Amino acid sequence: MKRQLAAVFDTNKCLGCQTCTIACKTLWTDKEGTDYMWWNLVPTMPSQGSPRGWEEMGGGFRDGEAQVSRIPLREEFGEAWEFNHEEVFFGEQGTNAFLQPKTDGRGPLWEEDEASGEYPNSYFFYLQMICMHCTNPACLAACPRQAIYKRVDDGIVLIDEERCHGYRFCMEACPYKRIYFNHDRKVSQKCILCYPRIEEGVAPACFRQCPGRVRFLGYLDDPDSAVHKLVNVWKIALPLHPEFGTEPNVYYVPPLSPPNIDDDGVAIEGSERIPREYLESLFGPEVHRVLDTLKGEIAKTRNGETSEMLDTLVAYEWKSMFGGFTKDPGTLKRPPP
Amino acid sequence: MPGETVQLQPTPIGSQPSHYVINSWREKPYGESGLLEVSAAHNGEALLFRLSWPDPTEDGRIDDTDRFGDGVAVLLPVVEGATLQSMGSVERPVNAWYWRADLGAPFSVTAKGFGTTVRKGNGSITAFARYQDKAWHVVLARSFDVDEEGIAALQPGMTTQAGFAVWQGSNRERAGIKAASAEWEPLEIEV
Repeated sequence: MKRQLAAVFDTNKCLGCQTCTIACKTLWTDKEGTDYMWWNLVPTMPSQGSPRGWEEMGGGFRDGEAQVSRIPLREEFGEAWEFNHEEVFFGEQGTNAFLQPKTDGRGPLWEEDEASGEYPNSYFFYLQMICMHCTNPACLAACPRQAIYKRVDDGIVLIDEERCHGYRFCMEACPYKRIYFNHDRKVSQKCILCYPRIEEGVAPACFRQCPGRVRFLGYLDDPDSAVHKLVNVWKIALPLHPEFGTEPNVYYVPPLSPPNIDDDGVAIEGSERIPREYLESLFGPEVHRVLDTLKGEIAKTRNGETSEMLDTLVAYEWKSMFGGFTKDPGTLKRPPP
Repeated sequence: MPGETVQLQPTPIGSQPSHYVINSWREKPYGESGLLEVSAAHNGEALLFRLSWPDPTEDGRIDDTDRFGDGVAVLLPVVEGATLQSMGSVERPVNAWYWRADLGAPFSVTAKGFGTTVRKGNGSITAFARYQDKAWHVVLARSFDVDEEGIAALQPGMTTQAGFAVWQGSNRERAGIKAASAEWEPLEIEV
């Protein structure tokens, strides 16, 4: 029986701290060939994101037809800064040396924390991105060797690194541009939804280590999971760029935002800083219903009523977020080194 | 096989085993490496192919995500009657000696149809390669005494066939996007 693990990310709670990004990096991508990879990344939106300009690069499907795209370059993925640690800690320069980037590079997150709009009505939010583990993956369809497969038991999409010959058509085809090329091993690589942890009942690292309680995990068909309720019952979690045609299994609770302030410094009641048209371009026309629903629930609780929807999103009980994948990885037996 | 030139053709776009590949290469030129000069010889222990083809750029280093290496391959039937154009079949596989400028060593590949190539270690193949005057010159050699599943048996006195393919790295050619011989060339291994 086919089952699908899905994620819900509540953009309203994300601080952009990138703990998730580092959790993934220290677990999976700290080796030769993987240094520039960010299987998880949290770009500021609106922005060019990473790789720079990915939203305009193409890929995915339109009317069932595979859309042409290209391989993003290293420079577009962005190179991490190198810092002058040696000089600061061992250069014996005391306070004359301070920690700063050695190189002029931009880092992997183009326009991080750069707001759009005009003060005092500037705006941005954070958009958490991992592999979408799509139901109709463009990467899987593009590979001429069928080196990519989708697991039946949980819907996780994986690149078989023994079959992969590094052709990188998957990198082109993915409209979210979440696949990277490992120069050292000559294979394509991407987020694996921490499947070795999943198989042990442990949530993926980026989900578990998030201090903001942003990330929900669960089987879409599990009626007890928060994910099922958010996606299928209340329908307040939406896919990103559904027009890419790949049926992603990562869903987002879209961001509410503070009201605009008029020229007299007075808040304009009922307004929202983040333009609705922009959010519609990301999440589709359902975003209006979702944001209005969230505002309605917030109004209810301000009136003293309870809201199961908001309680679920707040996740007072941390373990309630993970759809049963609550095992502590610290309790697992590690294999011998 | 004394020195001869083999006219390589772009592989048919319609037979690429992925709609993405078809859609993205339909309007792009590929497989235009033209004439491949081939000569074959043996020394009683190993069969050698010398392959030369024009390439305006030497692509031996992958230094960005969208770079691909120049390459050449010699294809042999594992079972008599294997079809060249389909990269073999389940019943009649083919075996290739595969060299790429950005990889350390050549290797052996077995295929049973499009998209099924499996790399089988180095298969006792050695390669010597030189890029000079805007052309690649590659010698691929394999010892006769290899008895493995999926590897073409070769012995002096045998008559068999060979096909060839060339990838131009600077044009991002890889997988089925290549210049290849349209038909088997006869290969007589003299006693």
